[in-house]
Amino acid sequence: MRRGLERCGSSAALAVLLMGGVQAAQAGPRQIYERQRGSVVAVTYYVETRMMRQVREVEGRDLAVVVGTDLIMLNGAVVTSSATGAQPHDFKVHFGGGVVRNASFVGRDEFANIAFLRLQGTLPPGVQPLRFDVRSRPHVGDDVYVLGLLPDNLEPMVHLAAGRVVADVDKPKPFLVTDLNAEDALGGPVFDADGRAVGVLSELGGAGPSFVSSFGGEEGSYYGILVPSATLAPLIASPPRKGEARRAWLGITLQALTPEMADYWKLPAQSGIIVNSVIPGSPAAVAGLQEGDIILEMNGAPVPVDREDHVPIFVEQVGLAGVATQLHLGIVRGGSRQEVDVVLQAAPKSPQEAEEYHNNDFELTVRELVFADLRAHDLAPDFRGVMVSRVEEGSWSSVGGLEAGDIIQRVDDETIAAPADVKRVLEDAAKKEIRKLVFFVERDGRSQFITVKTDWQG
Amino acid sequence: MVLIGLCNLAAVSAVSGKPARGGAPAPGTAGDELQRQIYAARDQVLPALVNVQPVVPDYSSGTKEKSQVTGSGVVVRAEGYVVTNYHVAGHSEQVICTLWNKERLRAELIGGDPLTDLAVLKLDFSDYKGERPPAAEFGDSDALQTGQIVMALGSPFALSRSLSFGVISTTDRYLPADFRLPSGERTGIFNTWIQTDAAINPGNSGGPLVDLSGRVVGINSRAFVMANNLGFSIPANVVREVSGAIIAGGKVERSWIGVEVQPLQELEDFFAARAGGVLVSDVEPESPAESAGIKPGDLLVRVGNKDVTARFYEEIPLFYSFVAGLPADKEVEIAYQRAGSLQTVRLTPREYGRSSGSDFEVKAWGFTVRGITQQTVLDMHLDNASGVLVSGVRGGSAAEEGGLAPQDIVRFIGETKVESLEQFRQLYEGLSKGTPEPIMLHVKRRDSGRFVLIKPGGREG
Repeated sequence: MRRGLERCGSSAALAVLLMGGVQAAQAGPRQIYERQRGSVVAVTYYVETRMMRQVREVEGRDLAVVVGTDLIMLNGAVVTSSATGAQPHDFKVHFGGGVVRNASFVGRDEFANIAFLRLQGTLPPGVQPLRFDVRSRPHVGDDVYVLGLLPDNLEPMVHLAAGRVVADVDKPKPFLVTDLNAEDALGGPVFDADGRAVGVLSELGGAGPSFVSSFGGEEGSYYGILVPSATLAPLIASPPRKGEARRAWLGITLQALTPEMADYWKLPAQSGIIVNSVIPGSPAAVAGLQEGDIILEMNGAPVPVDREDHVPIFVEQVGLAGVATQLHLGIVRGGSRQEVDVVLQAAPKSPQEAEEYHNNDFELTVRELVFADLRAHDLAPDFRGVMVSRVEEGSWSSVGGLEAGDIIQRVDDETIAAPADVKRVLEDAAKKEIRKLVFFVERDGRSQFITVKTDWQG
Repeated sequence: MVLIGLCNLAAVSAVSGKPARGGAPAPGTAGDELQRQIYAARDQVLPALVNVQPVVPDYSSGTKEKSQVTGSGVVVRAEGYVVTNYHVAGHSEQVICTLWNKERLRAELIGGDPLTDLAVLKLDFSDYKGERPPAAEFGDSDALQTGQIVMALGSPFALSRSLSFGVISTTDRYLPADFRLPSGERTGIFNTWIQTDAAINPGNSGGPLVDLSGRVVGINSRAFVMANNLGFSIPANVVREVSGAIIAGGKVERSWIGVEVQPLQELEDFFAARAGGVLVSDVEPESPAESAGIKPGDLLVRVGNKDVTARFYEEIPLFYSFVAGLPADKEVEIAYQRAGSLQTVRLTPREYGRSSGSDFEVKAWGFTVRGITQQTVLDMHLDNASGVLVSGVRGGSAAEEGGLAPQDIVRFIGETKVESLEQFRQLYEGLSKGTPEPIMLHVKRRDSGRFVLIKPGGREG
């Protein structure tokens, strides 16, 4: 402990010195590295993985960037990486000099593929949040530098990689493509030759929940996708909050109208959105949209979606339009043009935003059942229950046979519809020291009873 | 009663210890006696042993691909009926069998039962001049004992006429019923398994497990990979019944009432179960049980005239098998306990039906489909059995280009509703004649519909 403090002290002194240098005009890879590496930290956490039927907790480690006095930004894929939909937990932020701080999850922006953590306690002395420069956007051909973390070192060992902007892509949304191909720099800040922070390296082609996931990923040839500062700045100023529904939705399942399909149906446009189903009670349902409708225009402008990869353009347009906004849609139904006005509502919560409850006696974590669960498990819209998101190995719950992914419908004779119901029943069981509880759960599309025995003598 | 292995087994270890000190056991020892019995049992069953090499089609890549696999089998009737595993020959188009005397002949598939993983072939003796194989004798698998000496015969890794040796490790192993055959069918619901440490490898499948009298006590079907000597055989009594039904009528008829059950153990007091019973854990939608009002948590105590109970997992297959044996379309009374009070209800079991539909290659469009049966409807939580199931999409085909995916259900071709595989086939054959025109399919994918435009003669040429 003493030693840690000493090291912390010396790193602060170093940082103060460097701070003095920030104002100097001269920039370059070496200056970027020396001035900015303090804002690059390692984040560790626990996340669940599934092997066969076994759910295991593994420690994850990712790069993150200090972007506020208590705000840490990291790649959004981290918080969706759980095999069970349980949130990663026990986040720790590792600064230089062996300083470690706990942090809690704030929220994630799906479109930018960025997540945020809130630091518990203050930044170690000398560490300054990185400021992104919203005015500078590099051009094709410009040199860029990214800071990453060397692997397998809890103490951040920052490295720098150099590359170039190689393309400026318009669709499915505007972003810059670089030839930065450094996997250990994912989520790392990207700088231009003048040392200005111009964005973060979001992903390398390949898979991911964000928009650009369909880009690149051919064998061996990965391109680093740059999310520009202009996208990050508003998110840093007002981070997405878990549980706070910010996006709007229509409530349809959809597919792209390709030019071939438009020709087949002899439609007056070459792009649009086919409505494949309408979710009951959704804004689309309220407005009277129907399965088979084809949306050609939104607010008078053509819907520019002519291939499946570009469906997210429409989703983002709707998502960002804002709750309670009215959209004017031009559709084709049964061969004739019609107009439909839809008032958008907040999108249902994602599993990551769902309310959680953890019980210490039963070492069981459950979360609210959300719309995505009902769809994933093919459950009726009026299905009630809560999702088991975590079961500690060797706990009463685990020994009894509960598994992550089970949906609890009843405990003994109590109907379970929300985490609060589980809380009430389990706390009551603790009070009465009940020896055995019978859970009625849904697993893999079939229901069953599971007996959980306690060590209480009641 | 078969000779029990305990003392003989002890003799075996004595034998294996002796040669190091030089020489075979002296005549008349227990080891000698065991050796004599093994020879006798071998001679009894070996002539009925068959090496089975079926040509099996695989539709999962969107096109029909054939491959030859190797398994084992055993002659069960002197007319040339051979029992093997469904996963060896259940989908076979042609089968080559090699007899104990190394003679090779063709066989035809008589029928198969994926639910017990059994299939029956018939040897074609028309061009065969040699000695005909005898039928193997079957033992009573209910009388088996843990520790009893057994031998497994078959073609591990295609090494035909191989014999391995061990004991019965347990007589009634329950294996979870969520296992599926490589061809996708549910299996293993109606029986427990004989577990043995006699070496069972890929290729042993369908071969006999025999006792020291040379009687078939099981059909070797599964083994745990990456384990040592954990093999599983279908009990002979199940084999006898299933193969008998297939030989008599080409298939096994079963009934279905639509309940899923679980062991009652540890739940007796919760459900106030005084006299045992079978605990209903789930009821299939639109099943006879659902129509009769049976619900999860009900405790079935009598079905027809039979009292039923299942406290342990090992008893569950027995219950399912009993229900499957009820006559279809004949009303049966079920007594059950709900919330402490006894009630009765009458319901009519329905025919279980085929596990999966037939396969068909939609060559010109680049995908394969499978018919939808009642079991598919239950398996995939479908609303009804209309349409055809896409089993594979060929890479680079018009179907792939149009966005078709495996597991999609084709519900419409153009404006025409698809009802069955046969009707689909006719529609397709009509449409694929002459100049290829673009065709719009409407499919169900998960909980939503989707359009797929097929432009035949695309980049594939």
